[in-house]
Amino acid sequence: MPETELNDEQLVLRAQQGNLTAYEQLVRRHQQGLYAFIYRMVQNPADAEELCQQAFVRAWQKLAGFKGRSSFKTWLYQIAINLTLNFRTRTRKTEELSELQPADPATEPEADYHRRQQEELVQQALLQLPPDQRTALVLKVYENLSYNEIARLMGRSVRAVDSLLVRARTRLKTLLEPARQRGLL
Amino acid sequence: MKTMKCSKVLKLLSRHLDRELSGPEQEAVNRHLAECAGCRQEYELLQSEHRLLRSVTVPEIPPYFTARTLARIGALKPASLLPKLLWQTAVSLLVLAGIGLGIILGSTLATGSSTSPELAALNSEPTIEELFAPGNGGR
Repeated sequence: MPETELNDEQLVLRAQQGNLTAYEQLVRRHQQGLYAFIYRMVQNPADAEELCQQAFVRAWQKLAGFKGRSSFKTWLYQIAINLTLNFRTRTRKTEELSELQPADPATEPEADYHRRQQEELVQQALLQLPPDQRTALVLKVYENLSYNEIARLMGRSVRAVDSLLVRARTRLKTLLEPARQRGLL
Repeated sequence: MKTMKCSKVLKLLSRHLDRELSGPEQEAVNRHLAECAGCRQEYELLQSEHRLLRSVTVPEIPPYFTARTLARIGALKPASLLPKLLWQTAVSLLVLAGIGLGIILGSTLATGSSTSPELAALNSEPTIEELFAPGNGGR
């Protein structure tokens, strides 16, 4: 059976036997979703690509130890979350919202300019959240996972996830308040 | 039925938005929101924040991402196998050395325990003094 017709479990079994073509199919299947998740965490295309590649490389290296207790996707995201959290704490410093360079209104149509400005404000606000709050919020808002799933991915309790999300949303509201008052949102 | 207090409802709004409340909790919050303009405003703000977050776009994954990732895996493959091979070789050598040492020790102990003092004396090499002692043909 060709790799494209196999499910993740079957591909993992083949990849565990060293079949790189099977693993390539897993990469193709999950790369866009994982890249989007990581991009939302780091807000930088080059960093997102690097971390996404690292996640797939690490998953390949650890594949022999993957017992299938969770789905491959969950396991892959756990690897990516660990990489992203370490990356953030190791090398990045958040910028102040006031340092944001808005798009140039002279070069873009008004609607595009407004949309881009809004996106930049939201992205910068997201970056200013503590990493664990940002992770929980990104998993909830963009991946649409349940609290239970987020708790499993982050190795936290459901109650802790609830608390992280409440604090993330409260902080986000505070961070975006000045922009809201200036009529930018 | 008595509605929830604002302080309690405000704590539940995030879970309400995420549909993580139980049926009765959800109903109680809905009832409160229908009556309380302040809490309703907070909830609408939360919803608008959620929509704002959802509106942020993500760039397409860079071209050749798959190829670059697989090339990286290909490049790491021998390196990742090498420590495993070295480790396996070291373990094998240690096991062999252990078996060898066991055989030597075993035979030595076996020899030592079953040998009589006379036989041991015969087996032991005489010293220079013993060779040249009177009665041994020495000068």
